[in-house]
Amino acid sequence: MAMVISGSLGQRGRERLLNTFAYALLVLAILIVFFPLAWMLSVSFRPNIEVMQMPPDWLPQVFTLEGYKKIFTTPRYLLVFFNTMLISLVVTVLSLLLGAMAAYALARFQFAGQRAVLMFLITTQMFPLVLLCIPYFRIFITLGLYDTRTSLVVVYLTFTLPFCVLMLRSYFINIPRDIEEAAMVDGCSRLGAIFRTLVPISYPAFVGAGLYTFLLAWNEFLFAVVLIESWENRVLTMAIYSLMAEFVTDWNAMMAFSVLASLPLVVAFIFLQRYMVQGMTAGALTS
Amino acid sequence: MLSFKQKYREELLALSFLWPALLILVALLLYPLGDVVRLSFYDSNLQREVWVGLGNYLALLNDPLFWKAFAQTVVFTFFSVVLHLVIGLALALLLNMQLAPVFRSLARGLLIVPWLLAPTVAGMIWVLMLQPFGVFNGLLVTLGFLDPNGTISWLGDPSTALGSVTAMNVWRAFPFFMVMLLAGLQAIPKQLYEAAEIDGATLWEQFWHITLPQLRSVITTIVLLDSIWTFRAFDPVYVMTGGGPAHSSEVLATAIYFDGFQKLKFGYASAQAVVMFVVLFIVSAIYVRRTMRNV
Amino acid sequence: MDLQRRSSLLKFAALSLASMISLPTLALAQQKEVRWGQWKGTEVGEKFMGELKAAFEKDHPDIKLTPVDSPFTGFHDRAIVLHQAKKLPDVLLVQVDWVAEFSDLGMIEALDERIAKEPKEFFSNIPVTFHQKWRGKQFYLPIESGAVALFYNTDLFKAAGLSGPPKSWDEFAEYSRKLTNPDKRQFAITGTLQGEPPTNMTYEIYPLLLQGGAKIIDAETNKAVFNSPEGVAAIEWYVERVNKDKVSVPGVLSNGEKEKRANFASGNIAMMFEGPWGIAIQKQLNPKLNYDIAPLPAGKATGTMVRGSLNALSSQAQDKDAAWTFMRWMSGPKGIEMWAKGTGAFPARTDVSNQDWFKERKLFQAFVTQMGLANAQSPFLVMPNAVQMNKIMSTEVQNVVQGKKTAKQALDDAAAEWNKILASAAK
Repeated sequence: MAMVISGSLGQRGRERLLNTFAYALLVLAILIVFFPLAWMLSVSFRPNIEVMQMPPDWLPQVFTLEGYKKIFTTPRYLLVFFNTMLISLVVTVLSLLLGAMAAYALARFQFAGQRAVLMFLITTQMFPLVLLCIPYFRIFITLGLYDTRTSLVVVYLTFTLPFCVLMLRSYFINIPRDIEEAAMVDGCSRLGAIFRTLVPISYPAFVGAGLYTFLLAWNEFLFAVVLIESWENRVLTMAIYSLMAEFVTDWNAMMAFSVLASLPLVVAFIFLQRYMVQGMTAGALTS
Repeated sequence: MLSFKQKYREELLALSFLWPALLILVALLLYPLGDVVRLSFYDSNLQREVWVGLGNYLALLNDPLFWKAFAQTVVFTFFSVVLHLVIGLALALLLNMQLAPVFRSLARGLLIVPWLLAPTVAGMIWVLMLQPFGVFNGLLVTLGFLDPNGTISWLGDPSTALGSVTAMNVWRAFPFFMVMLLAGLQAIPKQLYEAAEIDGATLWEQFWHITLPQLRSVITTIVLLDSIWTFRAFDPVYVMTGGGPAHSSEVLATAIYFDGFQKLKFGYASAQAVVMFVVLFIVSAIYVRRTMRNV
Repeated sequence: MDLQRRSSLLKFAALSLASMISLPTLALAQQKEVRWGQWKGTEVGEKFMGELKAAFEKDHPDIKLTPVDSPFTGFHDRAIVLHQAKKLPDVLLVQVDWVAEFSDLGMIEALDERIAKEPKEFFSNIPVTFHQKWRGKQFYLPIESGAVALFYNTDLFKAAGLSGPPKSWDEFAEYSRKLTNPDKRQFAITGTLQGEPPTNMTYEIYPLLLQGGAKIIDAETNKAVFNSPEGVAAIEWYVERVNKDKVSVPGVLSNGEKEKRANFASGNIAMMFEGPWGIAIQKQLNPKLNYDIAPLPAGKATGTMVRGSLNALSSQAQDKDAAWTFMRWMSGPKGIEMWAKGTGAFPARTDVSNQDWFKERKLFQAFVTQMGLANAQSPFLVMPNAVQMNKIMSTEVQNVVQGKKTAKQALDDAAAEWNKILASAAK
C-alpha cells in the first residue's frame, strides 16, 4: 500500500519536474526567438551612430523618435503604407470571392475533370515564382501595365487563389448540403441560399484564409521588385529594402519602418490567433 | 433522351462557379510557363530573339556557376528543413505538455511572431545583427564564445554567408512547423499513451512508438511543402547577401533573377528556370500524389 | 434589341473609362514636363530637391521639373530595364562608368549639336576630364565631380601618436599597423572589394595601380596593360596589408561604400578612401566626427580616380528640347553653384570652383590638390562596358585575397577578359 502511494507520488513528482523543465525551456526559447525582434525595437529608438558600437549597448544611450518621425513626415513612405494596404485588401477580397465560388463548385458538384482541377490547384502552389517573373515582366510591358499597382494585384492572385479555393473547399465539404437545400426549397435562389447559409456558417474558414492571404500579399517582395519601379507604386517590403540600397544605410529609420510594417500583422494576429492557426493547419494539411 | 443541358447539368453548374478562378490561374500560370519554355530556346534580351535550339541548355551544363547555385540551393533547403523540423518538433512537444492553458497560448502566440514578418524585414534585421560591428559579435564576446580580438563578418565571409542566411530562414519559418506539429500532437488519442504507460513504456519509447508514427503523415506533408518553398525561396538570399560574396550564397532563384534582370540574358535565365521547374515538379509530384489520396 | 443595348452599354463604359484615363493626360499636356531620373533624392533631402525644382521652374516657367527618385544600388540595371519597357525618364543621371555602355545600347543621345549652339564658355568651363568623348561624341554633362582622396580621423591619429596623414606607401603601411587595434575593435581601413556595385574598384584598386606606376589601358594599342610588373606589385602590396597586417575590418569581400562610410563615421576605422561627396555624407552620419582630408599616399607615382555624376539625354525623352533646357541649366553656372552649395558637392565647373565661397571650404582643398597631381584619371568614360570590366576586376582581386590565384595570374586573367571586351567594342 505504502509502496503504491510513494510510487505514484514519485511519478507525480517526476511529472512536476518535467513540467518545470518545459516551462523553463519554453521561456528560454521565447527569449532567444525574441532577441532579434528586441534588437529591431532597440535600434529603432537610437541614433545611427549608436548602432554599430562595440561593445553594444543593449538599451539606447540617447533615446530618439527620429526614425519614426522620418517615416510619418515623409509623404512617399505614407503612400507606401497606403499602397500595401490597398493591394493586400483588394487581393484578399478577390481571392475570397473567386475562391469561394470555385470551392463551392468543387465541394458540391460531381463533374468530369474534378480531380484534374484539384490536381492543378495543388500543383500551382509548387511553382517556382521566379520562373513567372520573366514572362510577367514581358506581358505587363506589352499590356502597358508595367509599374502599376494593378499588375501586383493580378499576379498575387496566382499564389493566393489556389490556397483559398482549397481551404474553403475543405470547410464546405464538411457542411451538410441539407442546409442550403432547405433554404432553396424555401424559395431562395442558389446564390441566395449560399449567401444566407453557407457563407455565415463557414466564417472561420473565411477569416483564416483571408488572414493568410493578407499576410502573403503584405509580405511579398519578388514580384514587387520585378514589376514596380516608381515610388508612387511601391509597397512596404520594397521601400524598406531600398533604405539599404542608398549610399549609407539609415538603420534607425529602417528598423522604425520595419516595426511599423510588422505591427498590423502582429496586432491582427493577437486578436485573430485562433483563426490564423486554424487557417495555417487547415491550409496545408487538408489541401 | 436527355438534352445536353440536362445531361451535363452538374458540369455546367460547376463551370459557372469555377470559370473566373480557373481562367485567371490558367492565364497566369500555364501561359507564362509555355512562354518560358519557348524563350529558353532563344537568345533573348527582350529587344531581339535569336533561335539557339538547345544552346542555352548546353551552356548550362558547362556553367560552374549554375551547378554551384544548384548545389547551394540543395544545401540551403536541406539544412533549413531539417532544422525547422527539429526545432518545430521540440517546441511542439514542450507546448503539448501539461501547461497552464494561458501560458500555452501565450507562448505559442509569441513564438509565432517571426513567421508573421516579411522575409525582407526578417532579413534586414539579421543583416543588421550580423555586421562585423553588429550586436551578434558583441553578444558572442560578452558570452565568452568569441575572442575579443576576433571580429567575424558573417555575411562577408564566403564560408559563413550561406550558413547565416540559413540561420535567418530557420528563425523565421520554424513556427510553421511548430504550429502544424502541435495540431498533430493534439489529435493523437490520449488512450494510446495511457495504455503505453500501463505497459511501463518509458517516455522515449512512447515518443518513438506512438508520437512519431502518429505524426508521420503531418511530418511528411510539411517537410515536402517546406522543401518546395525553401527550394524556390528568393527573398532571404537576395536581401541578405545578394548571392555573394563571390557567389558563395547564390541559390537558383537569385541566379535566375540576376541573369534575367541584371545581365538581361532572358533566354539563359529561362533555361535555368525550366530546370528548376522540372526539379520542383518531381518533388511536388510526390506531394500531389499523397494529397490527392486524401481529397 | 437586348444585344444592342448591351453593346451600347459597353461602348458607354469604354468611353467613360477612356475619358478617365485621358483627362489627366490632357491637363498635363498644357505644360512641358521633364522627368529627371536620379538617385540623389534621399542623399540631398526632399527639401533641397524642392528648392532646386522651384529655382529651375522660376527660370523656365513653361517647364515642369519632376525628379524621379530611385535607390543607387541597382540603378544601372533598372535603367536598362526601364529602357526596355520604354519608360526611361527624359534626363537620366549616370555614373562615369555607364556612359559608353548606355550609348551603345541606344539609351542616351549625343549632345554635340546642342552644345555647339551654346556660348563657348558654357562648355569650356567644364573640366577637361569631362570632355572625354565616346565614339567621337559627347554624351553627357557633369553636375558634380571629384577625385578620391584620403579621409582620416584626427582623434584616432592623435591617440596613436601620429601627427599627420601618411604621404608614402611605406608610411601608410606603418601607420595602418599602428592604427589597427582589434582589441578595441579599431582598424585602419575598410577594405572594400564588394562585387556589387562594382564602383568599389574606384577607391582602392585603380588608384593603387596608378600609384604603383602601372597604366590601366594603353590608348595606342587599345589593350589592358595593368598586368605589368608594377601593377602586380601594387596588388601584392594591397593584399599583404589585408591578409598579413590585417589592417582592414573583416569581410573585405563584402564590404562596400556603405560599410566604409558607416565605419568611418562611428570611429571604427581611422582612414578611408573617398570622394568629396563623402563630406556631406559624414556630416549626415556623424556631425561631431573630427577628421581631415589629405591627398592619397604616393607609391612610385601619384594617382587617383576622378568620378562625377553626369546628366544624359534619354533617347526616349518626350520633349528633347525641354530636357536639354534642364540639362543646360543644371550644368550651367547657376545650377552647378546651387547644387554645390546645397548638397556639399564638388562643383563641376571651373567658373564655379574659382569662386571665393568655395575656396573658403577648407575640407575641399585636398581634392583640389589631388586633382592637380599627376595621374588624376577617369578611364571609365572610354571603357566600352565599365560596369562589366569593373566586375571582372573585383572578382579577380577577390581571388587574390582568397588565395585562389597569385596576383600575376589574376591580373593576367582580368586583362585577357578586358581585351576581349575592348576588341569586340572596337569592331
